[in-house]
Amino acid sequence: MAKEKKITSYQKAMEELQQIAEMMQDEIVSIDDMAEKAKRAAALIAYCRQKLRATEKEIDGVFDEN
Amino acid sequence: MSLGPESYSLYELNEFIKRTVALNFVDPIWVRCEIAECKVSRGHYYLTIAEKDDTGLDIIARANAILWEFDFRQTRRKRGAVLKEILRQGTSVMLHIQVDYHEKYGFRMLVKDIDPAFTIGQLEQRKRATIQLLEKEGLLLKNKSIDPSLVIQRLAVVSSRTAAGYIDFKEQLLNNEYAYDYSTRLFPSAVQGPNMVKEMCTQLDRITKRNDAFDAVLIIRGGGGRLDLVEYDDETLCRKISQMPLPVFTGIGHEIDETVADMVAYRSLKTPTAAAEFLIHRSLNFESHISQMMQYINSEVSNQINQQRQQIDHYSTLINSAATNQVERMNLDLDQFEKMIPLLVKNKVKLSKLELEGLARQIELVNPQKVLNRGFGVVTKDSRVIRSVSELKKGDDIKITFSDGDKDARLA
Repeated sequence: MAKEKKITSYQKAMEELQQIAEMMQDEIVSIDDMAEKAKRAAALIAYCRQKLRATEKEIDGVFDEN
Repeated sequence: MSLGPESYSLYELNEFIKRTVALNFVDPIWVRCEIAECKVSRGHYYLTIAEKDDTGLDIIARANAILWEFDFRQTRRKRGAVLKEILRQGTSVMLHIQVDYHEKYGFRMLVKDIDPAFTIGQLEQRKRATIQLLEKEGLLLKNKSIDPSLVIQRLAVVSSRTAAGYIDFKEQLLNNEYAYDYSTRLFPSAVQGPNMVKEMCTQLDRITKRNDAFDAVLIIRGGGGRLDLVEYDDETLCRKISQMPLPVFTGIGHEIDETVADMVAYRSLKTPTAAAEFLIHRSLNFESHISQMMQYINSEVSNQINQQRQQIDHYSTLINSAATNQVERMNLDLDQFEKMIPLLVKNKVKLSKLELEGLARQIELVNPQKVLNRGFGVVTKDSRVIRSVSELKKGDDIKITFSDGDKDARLA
């Protein structure tokens, strides 16, 4: 099993998605790898979708008042 | 009798001054000055007007001016709502002044009219000067050269806590139809007036210190007149905006003029509502984009699978039809045999039957009885059939068989 690479930001997710799309287009992916790549793409999208709707609430603790 | 030096009563003096002033100042005159203080009481405007030196720091002339409520209403009718915006501390104004000296109240400048064009002209000048300066320093486009994050979600908002614009803005983000989430942190500041520049700059500095915690800065306020927005042309503030490490979005609610702050910001939106819409659309665009990519990826996978499946089907069909052909052929053969066998059998039987019939006929032909029926007789001697006359002699006992029986006889 391929290790699950952590998704860190919208930018990185987008870049990886583009990469997968390009690989598919150039047909350099074997049909077995395809399933894996499609799964990874779905994971990337799910991450983005979720993050769009629930930002990590890190800001509130950023400032001590005053 | 000597009364001392010539003297006047105060009233006489003041009256004399009054007449002198009235003589020299028959009509109101236009005066350029700055409003240093502005107080309103019972509808009357009590102003302190002043002129500063070239450095803008020292006052070289000062006077008290009054805009009586009656005159205010008249001027208001003539000049419009902008009047109220002009009558505030800090504005440069052109006042139509009736110089007045009252024996009891002293010198007063009575304001009879105001020329708003002067004030606005001054602002335009100031604005132009600020723009030129920032342009020279290469700061006009600096904030625009920032590459913002794909999704702008963590917001540093500079606004007034009670400002209607801020409340609307938050409301819109909270209730957006796509359920997108945003973190907003308010950095409170006046959004107009003399304190605005200082307070905003302070907040912008705070934001800069923690710029890693945010995706963008929002400066928002509800609508206001053009003069309400003068502070947004301020050089210090605009310089700071242009140098922010995060993209700055302005939504300061005006329809007409662009302020310098709008110009140096990454992007200016017309109103706080428009700013909220912009952010929501950005998220939507991003989501649409990745959805499209997913669709593309999925369809590529589908295509590949279909292709493979078609190949398999193709071979499967080939194999099947080859096999089927074989079987069919064999079936046909068997069918033929099946049909032939009865025929063969029939034929065989027929032939045999014919043979038998032939034989039977033959046999019938040589059936002794038939021969006998034709009139022949069989002669036997001692149970032996006699075929030749030579076998018989006189006195032999013979039997003659006729078709209907036999008789013994003796040869004579």
